[in-house]
Amino acid sequence: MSKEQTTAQLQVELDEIIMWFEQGSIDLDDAVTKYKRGTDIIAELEKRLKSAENTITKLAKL
Amino acid sequence: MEELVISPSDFIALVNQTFDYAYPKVVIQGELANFKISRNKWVYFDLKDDNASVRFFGTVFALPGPLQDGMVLSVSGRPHMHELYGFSVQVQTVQPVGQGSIKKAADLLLAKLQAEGLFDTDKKRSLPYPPQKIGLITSVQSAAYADFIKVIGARFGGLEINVYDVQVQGEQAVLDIVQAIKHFAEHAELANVLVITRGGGSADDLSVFSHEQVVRAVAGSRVPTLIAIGHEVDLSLAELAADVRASTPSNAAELLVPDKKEQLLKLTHKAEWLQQGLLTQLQNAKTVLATQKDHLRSGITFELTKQQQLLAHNAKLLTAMSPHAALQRGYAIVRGPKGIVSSVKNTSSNDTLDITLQDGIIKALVR
Repeated sequence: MSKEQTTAQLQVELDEIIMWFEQGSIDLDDAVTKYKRGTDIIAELEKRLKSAENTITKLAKL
Repeated sequence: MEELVISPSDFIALVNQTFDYAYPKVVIQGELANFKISRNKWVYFDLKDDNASVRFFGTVFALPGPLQDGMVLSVSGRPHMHELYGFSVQVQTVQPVGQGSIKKAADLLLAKLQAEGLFDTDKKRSLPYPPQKIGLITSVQSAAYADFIKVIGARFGGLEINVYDVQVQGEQAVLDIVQAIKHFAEHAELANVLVITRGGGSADDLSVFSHEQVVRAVAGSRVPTLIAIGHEVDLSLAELAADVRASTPSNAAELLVPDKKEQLLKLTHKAEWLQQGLLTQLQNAKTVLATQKDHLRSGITFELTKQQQLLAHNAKLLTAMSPHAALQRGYAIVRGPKGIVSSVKNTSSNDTLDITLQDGIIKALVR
């Protein structure tokens, strides 16, 4: 899972994968690849949601 | 005692030294009169009460917005004697006082900024959802700060919140808030959304957020802005200038990020959809395979039948052409010592002939 991708980008990618499945085209190899990618994204998003704490930094005034 | 005789210039310098020592700063509250702006830069006005009037001089940058004679103002400044124009207070800050004056000032500024298009809805930007980095401008001592941090922490994680601690009321607040907005504009890495918040308060307390400099800074912010000032009934001009307005600090947190419990539930649904999608694809592939298998089987069966029919036909043809068929119809095959006898000329007396019939062979002697 690329660290570069933001949570919002991962959400968009996941939704696109789900839409691909809903279109119903038959390509089993693609379907397996996309399913794997989808489950990886879900696992990453769950991890981010469950584990992450907010980081609060008080900026020094100039 | 010898009288001190000094020049006018020295006298002026002496008076200014005395002011600087005794009254480096004064705050005077009174009714505005003779308000005048010169060359869009210099401001002249008087503050008066029933018995006296004090002259003020300053720049437009110190004003909270447009002013009108009759408003009650609290003005801070430095008393100063000018060499040519005499005494005035050099303006540092100007605050309308009392609900009537504050409302009047806000109305005048509203009309002015509205005409400039600062509140146009088509200029509003949408906020990143959820944002990664939040620039929070507030007083860290305030309940608003505590509420915002608590609610956003309960709803979402992994955010980077950079807090710029500011005064949210009083003289310093305008400078602080404008500086904070500028700071985030200059440091793009710190925030992709700006949240400016404070709790409720009196009209005086909240007047900072209707100050022209603050409103302009909000409208001109490079980073999209979300402003939550006071409770729902309070509406400041800064909120009108912001990209998004929230009713309270907690509401700001709710607008900014989704609730992680809802997000987790949505992810569970999406995982189910994904699984169902794959199962459907598998089922579809199986159906296609089964159809192809059926077609294949039908094709082979058809071909076999065709070949069988051809074989039967040929067999029948062959049978019809067989000599045995002729035997069955009553013909006979005659063989002599020299083979098949097809003519009497091929026989001689005393030859033994084999006469083959359908059901056996008769031995015959030629006479």
